[in-house]
Amino acid sequence: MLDKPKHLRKIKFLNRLKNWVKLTSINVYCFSSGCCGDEILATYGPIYDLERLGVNFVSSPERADVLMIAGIITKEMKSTLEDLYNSTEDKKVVIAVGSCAINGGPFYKSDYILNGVKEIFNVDLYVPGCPPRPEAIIYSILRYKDRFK
Amino acid sequence: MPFGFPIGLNIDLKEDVVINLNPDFGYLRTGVEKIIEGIEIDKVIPFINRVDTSSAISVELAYCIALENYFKIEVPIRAKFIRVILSELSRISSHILFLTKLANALGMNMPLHYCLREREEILHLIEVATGSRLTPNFVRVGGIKSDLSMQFFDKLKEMLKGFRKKVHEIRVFFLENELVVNRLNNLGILVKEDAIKLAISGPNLRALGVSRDIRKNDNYEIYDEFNFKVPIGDRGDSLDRCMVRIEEIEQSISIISQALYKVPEGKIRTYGVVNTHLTENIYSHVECPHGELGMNISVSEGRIAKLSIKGPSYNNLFAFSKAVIGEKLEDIELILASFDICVCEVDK
Repeated sequence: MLDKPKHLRKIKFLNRLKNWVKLTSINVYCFSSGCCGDEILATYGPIYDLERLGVNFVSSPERADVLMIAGIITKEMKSTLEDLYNSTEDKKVVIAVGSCAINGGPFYKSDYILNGVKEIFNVDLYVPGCPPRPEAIIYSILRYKDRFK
Repeated sequence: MPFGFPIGLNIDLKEDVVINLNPDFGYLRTGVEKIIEGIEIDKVIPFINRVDTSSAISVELAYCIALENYFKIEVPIRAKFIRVILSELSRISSHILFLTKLANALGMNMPLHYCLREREEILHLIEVATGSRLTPNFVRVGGIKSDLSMQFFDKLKEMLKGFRKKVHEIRVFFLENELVVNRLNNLGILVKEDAIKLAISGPNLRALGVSRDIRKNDNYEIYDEFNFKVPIGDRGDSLDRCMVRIEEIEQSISIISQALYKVPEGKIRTYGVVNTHLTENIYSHVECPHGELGMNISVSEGRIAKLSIKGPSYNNLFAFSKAVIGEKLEDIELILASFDICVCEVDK
């Protein structure tokens, strides 16, 4: 009975610490294939700088909190994307960048592509555009940060 | 790192020396050439734009030049000058993207950020002219879509004043740097017999010593009015491929500065009559930054009957698989970056 408030204070403190870590150090794994990949590369550059917001591009999906998927999704890429999704941690956020990843884009009538990433797994944030401007990609990271404030 | 390259490689090794390499491509196949059958002639341009992602204006130019030559539509001179200025700007942007990928493969972080900073200036200029950074959608059959304002020419003149010095800084990073020269020297040599069998063109062929450039040999648009050189290399290794592209950037700057002072006033588009019966196969080719881009079209009743694009990155991919034989496993990524392959052109 005496250490109940201390126990609750400890949990509150650990929650705040976890939120602060997720706000200021974001690990992003980027899968890009096509024109939208060039715009994500431009946000990595020195003029539209993503690293000042705390974003860190990692090279393997086991270390990532955020999956950023941009570009044309074909039927042959389906198994690779499922492997990517299964090997990241459980509490992840998926961002779909560009209109080809949202619903097929200008090639929606084709037989060889899937109409968007949403046919494989759940998506949390959408960034529309063909290709979207770098400012739009930065805005999506700011909306992701709103969850942890 | 946000670089995307969905191509698989099947490598045969013997104690870390490569014996054989087979590329595995087809992961970006959209079938765009089948979708656009039956669409009207002027509405096709946004679809074929996305085949070459680093310089989309070469594909539009090849398409429009084919139809203009066949139906004998005369393009006004002001439109020709503006098309040349935009082509050369996108050539500079594509070569700077090649340098960032090479810097990433070498493991050098500072030239990567310098190159990305310069590329933003060029993309901003293309956006002021056409409205979009990567997919301009600007060239039409018989001319261009809309006129360029005085704001664009003022910004272009201001940019050209300091740009040569910045390109010289980038050149010092790559070509006068002992670490880079020792790393790239004699790496991934492509032999002349292989290059002829695989039909290579563009800067990869000019690095072997063969002087062939469609802008000079098979004159199109208004390139015979400008004074420019075609840089060639010696041995065909990775250092020559890097050097040829850096010198092409400098030649493009000189073409743009000559064109700025010669642009006349006038109309920007002539509307021509397109036929009603099925035509034969129409062909045209253009000097794209990756190589020679060819286009086969056949038209009937103002709509497209058949279209097929030959992308130069398809040949470059097989040239890479020949140049890698005999090299070590850890050098494969660097040789791949030096061939400048755009994956959307390989499988479209």
